[in-house]
Amino acid sequence: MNATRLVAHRLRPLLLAAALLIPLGCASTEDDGGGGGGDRTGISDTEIKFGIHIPLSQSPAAAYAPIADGIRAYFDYINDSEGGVHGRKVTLISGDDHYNPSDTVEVVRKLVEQDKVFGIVGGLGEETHLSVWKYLEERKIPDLFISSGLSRWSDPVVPTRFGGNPVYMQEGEMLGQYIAKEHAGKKLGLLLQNNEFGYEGEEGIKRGLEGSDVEIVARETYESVQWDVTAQTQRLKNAGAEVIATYAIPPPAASLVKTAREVLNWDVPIIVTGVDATELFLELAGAENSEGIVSVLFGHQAHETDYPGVQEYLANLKQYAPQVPVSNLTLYGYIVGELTVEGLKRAGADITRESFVEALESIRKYQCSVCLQPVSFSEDDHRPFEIEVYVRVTDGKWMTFGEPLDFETTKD
Amino acid sequence: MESVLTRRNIALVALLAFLVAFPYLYRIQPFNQVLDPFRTFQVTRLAIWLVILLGLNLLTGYSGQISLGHGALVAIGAYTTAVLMHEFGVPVVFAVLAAGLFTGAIGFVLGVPALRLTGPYLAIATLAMMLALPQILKLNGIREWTGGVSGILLSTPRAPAVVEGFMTDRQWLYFACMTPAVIMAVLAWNITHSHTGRAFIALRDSEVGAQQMGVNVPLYKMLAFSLSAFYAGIGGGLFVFTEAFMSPDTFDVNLSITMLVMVVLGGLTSIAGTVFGATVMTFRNDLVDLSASLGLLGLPGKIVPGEEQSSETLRGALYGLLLIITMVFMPRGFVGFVDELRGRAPWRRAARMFLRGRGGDADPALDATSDHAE
Repeated sequence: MNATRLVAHRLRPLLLAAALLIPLGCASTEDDGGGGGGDRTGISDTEIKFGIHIPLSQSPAAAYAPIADGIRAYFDYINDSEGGVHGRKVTLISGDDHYNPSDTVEVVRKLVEQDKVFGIVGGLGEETHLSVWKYLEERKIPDLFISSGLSRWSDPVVPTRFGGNPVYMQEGEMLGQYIAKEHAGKKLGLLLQNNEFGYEGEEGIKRGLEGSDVEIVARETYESVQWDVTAQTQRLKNAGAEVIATYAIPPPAASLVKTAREVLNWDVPIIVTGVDATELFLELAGAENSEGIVSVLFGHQAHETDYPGVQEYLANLKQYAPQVPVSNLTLYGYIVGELTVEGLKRAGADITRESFVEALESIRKYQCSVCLQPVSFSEDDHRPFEIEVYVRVTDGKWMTFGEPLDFETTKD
Repeated sequence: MESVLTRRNIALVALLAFLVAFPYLYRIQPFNQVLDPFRTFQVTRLAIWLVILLGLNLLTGYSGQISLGHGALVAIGAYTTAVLMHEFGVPVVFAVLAAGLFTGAIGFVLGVPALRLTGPYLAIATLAMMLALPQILKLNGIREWTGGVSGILLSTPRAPAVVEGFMTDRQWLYFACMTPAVIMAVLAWNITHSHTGRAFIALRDSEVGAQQMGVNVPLYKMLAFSLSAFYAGIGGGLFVFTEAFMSPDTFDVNLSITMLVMVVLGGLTSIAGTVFGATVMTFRNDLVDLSASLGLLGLPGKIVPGEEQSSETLRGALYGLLLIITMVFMPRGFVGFVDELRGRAPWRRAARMFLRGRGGDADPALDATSDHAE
């Protein structure tokens, strides 16, 4: 082999490497997406893009997927009837996170960095959202109406983050107060999801029970991947519980009710978290088994067809999401969509991420079309639903009773 | 002199150069059409999956021990790293290394039941471990360290001041994960081509046979578990370092099974196959998105009347279908498929017929055992 060829041979990998390394020279200071002041990411002349992380498959929590359909239905309704907000169509991109935190990290980064959304709205779950909340916070990306009720979403208040679900602590306190009053002197058994949702609910119930003579005699937990809680229910009965309160998502909560009524023939009073105040729960548990179960709610329901707001919702859902069944879940999404749009309207045509947040904070006593009570925000209050009312299953439907309980922190 | 200029070495140098340049490519034409910082994040994850899957392949592919609980080992590594960094302020390099060693030690102990259990029984035992671990991590007794159900939140990893100016945080994380991934891959290649690797393979093919040949069966079984756990621990450490968040539910049963699927999909007993498996693992959501955008999700609507709109909820079904199709057409994984394609090239076929004096199709069992499938 002659010398030139040898050199060429030897140099080839080096040349190749050098060619590929050239871009290294392009020094970089730009950041990975998101940004600083006057941020208009996700906004064009014709569109405002939002994203949501929600399980659409591979998890029992995929039962919550209709929330995204509800939000989208409201956006489409506004786009159709009013030509969007300030001339821009409002759109929603779903990211399927399978209710797994590592997937949530991926889909949210994708939404932010590739789809370049203006904000995240209605992101669902405790562990899932915990895996991205700091990421969104640091980049000052609006993180709206999280479909989870942990106190920490809104306490302490971070400008860009707004809670969604009523806070479990507040809701648990309501349930505890109800138990203290209606089941005084009884022995209470708890069924809790083994995560922050269950634990914060438990704390709320205990707060509501303070000063009463109700005694907690048993505390059972289940894992988020479980559907069946037969064993836990049996242990609650064996422990001598006379009333049961549960912080469980619909499938296991329904399993509790079914087991108690059908297997153990046990007519114990059951109180469930507002998360279960849905048609799905009734369907899974059986309407007859569920009769008399008590919970709390903040909005009107799909079955209240006499209420004008609900009529409008039904008509809109039929038109813009005909494939999605009517339910309190789509109704919840619908409310979230409505609050988002209200914020967009108030922020005006020159909207930025910052002005949008300020616009939301300016909302006082806003009566959304299907809310039971007006919604108020302020600089220190990022919780939409702080007034709730008790509901009881009567003839297979959740029916309101009693006076609403007011935890509203924005008083002016 | 001549020997260092082999085609293989040139390819390796080019690959290394590509890996170094990758996080910068998105800023130049034409790469910016497909690349962006999000892809850098994904490839960072690919590096982490590669480390984890390499370990699983050492255990399942090379030594033939089926584990459905690999996620538990990854979680142990992640938690060890997180606790060391969060509670004791240990620098990340040492925290990850310590996590690897600690997880490796746990793996060694876990190898003990594997001495008595084989095949499906071992799979069930490891599955049990996977199911139990989240509950253990949530125990109140160790809550002070693990954060209980809330998990551990670390501060966001930042590029050190030294590299400021020519590396963003994202690029820094990429190198922080790709470097160990490359090292671990080379290590895995060396292990599998050493005495230890051959002992693992002998063990997989026949325990009795391996014993006859002087392989210390209990020791090597435990060693396989330990090595695999070491990889899992390092992978878990890198994972928690980049995500800055770890909860007991992050590594669930689903993910454990997915890992095994990806190793099989790539090709057992092959480092290259593991790289392929890690790639699919990383981009599996994009693959489903892609097939969805091609209109595959609309198919059931065309077959079953009244289901026209059931689009999004069918993603899981589509994912399952893609896996089944892949396994039907590539029963020996991606690497086996490539081998077969090579074998089908007419001149190869002829050469093989000439050499072996029989049909062109190689015996799959024979091929799988010869450990240079990459």
